[in-house]
Amino acid sequence: MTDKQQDKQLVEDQAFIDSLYEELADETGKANEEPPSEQLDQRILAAAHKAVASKPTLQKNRNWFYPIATAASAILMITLVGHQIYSPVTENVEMPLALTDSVPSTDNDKHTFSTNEITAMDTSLFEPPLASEASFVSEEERATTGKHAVKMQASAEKQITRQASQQAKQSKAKRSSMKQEAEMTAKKSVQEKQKVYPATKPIPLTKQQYLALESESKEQSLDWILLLETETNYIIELQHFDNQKSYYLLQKQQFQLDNTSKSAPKSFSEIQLQ
Amino acid sequence: MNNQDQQKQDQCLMLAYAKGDAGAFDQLYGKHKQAVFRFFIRQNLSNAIAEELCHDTWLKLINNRENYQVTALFSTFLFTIARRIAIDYSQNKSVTLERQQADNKSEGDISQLAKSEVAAQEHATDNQTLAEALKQQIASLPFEQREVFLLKQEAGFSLEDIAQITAQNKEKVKSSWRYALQKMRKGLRFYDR
Repeated sequence: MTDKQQDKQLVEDQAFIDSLYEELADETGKANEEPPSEQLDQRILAAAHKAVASKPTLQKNRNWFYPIATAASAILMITLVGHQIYSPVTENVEMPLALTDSVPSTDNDKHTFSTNEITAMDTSLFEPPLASEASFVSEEERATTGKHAVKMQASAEKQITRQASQQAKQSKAKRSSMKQEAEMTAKKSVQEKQKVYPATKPIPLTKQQYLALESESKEQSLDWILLLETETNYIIELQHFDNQKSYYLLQKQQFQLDNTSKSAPKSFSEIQLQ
Repeated sequence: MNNQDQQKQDQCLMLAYAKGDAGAFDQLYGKHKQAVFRFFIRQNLSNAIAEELCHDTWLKLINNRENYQVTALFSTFLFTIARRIAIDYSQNKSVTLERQQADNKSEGDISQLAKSEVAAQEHATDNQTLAEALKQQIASLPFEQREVFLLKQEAGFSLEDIAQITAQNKEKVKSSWRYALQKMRKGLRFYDR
């Protein structure tokens, strides 16, 4: 069938169907009238009215909500930017926290010497001048402390530099003065640290160390003074023949000593291994 | 008022409703409720289901009122929604059930159609019988053809509009229209004089 024939057929078919629809319309006035129920009408109209009735309320809300939200955001932004630009840089340098690392650690300590315990000690015992304190510190510890100090200084510098870079508007002169200030603070805090804490911590006395010291005491004089007695430990100061001092932590379970007098030096041989 | 004017009026009413004029919707609903309802009832659906789908269609229109653009005819916008609702409904119903219905229909329709043909032949002048026969013939059309037939014959859309509503090629729509007419004429041949 050609296109023309198809179109002709289509027109004829359509005319036939149209004639049927017209026939129905002539008879009833309206073709195939099947109205939806009134209930449906009411439901739909009610939904339509409700939908637009709720809209003005929303717009009302928006009227005050958006300006206030925008203003609040702007204020927040300005505050943050202002804080970033004008707040001092080095007030909260973290060096003092980091400096605690410079205190030599005793990883093999069974009993860690807490700050409270140290404070509880007779502070006069730990008050010799810095120079003599330094003599207690072994070469290795001294080197470690030095490294830490250098490290801390470097990290402080880094931090200052980082913060300073965020404040591009600040002058170079101000930045360098801040840096110097930070260095001074670092040094100061190191000094303070050394004052507060002893340069060395009591070392837990092991059996081997005890035996070694015992044999040393037979050859040279080796006296000790009881510094502190706790429930489980003694802390003693060991005075070597060359006037060097070292501190030891003795566990009561392992060692027995005369704890009656604290000030008088006693011979190392009086310390007994249990 | 010609068709173009009516379409323009519908567009204005819809825009007014989108801006919050509930009265505009009342007018629109009054004008188009019948066509939408007929579109569903002719899909061989029960009255209750047709009403439910009608409700869904209008509700969707209400909720999407702000998305309406003047570029689209209101009736096209409305029937695009109605068609989607009809398709969703047919998809939600299980395919098996539809097949069963189709099988039953094909078997039952043959006998029913035969019966209706006989009845129609007996009472060819009876318009109620004609209306019933038309309804049955429409219901027996495949979905695509029925959809095009209803949109063209009952809702008065042009083939271009139907192509837009159904998102199909105009030639395909025309082809569906042709086949639908052929089947309708064949089924109602006893009215052919």
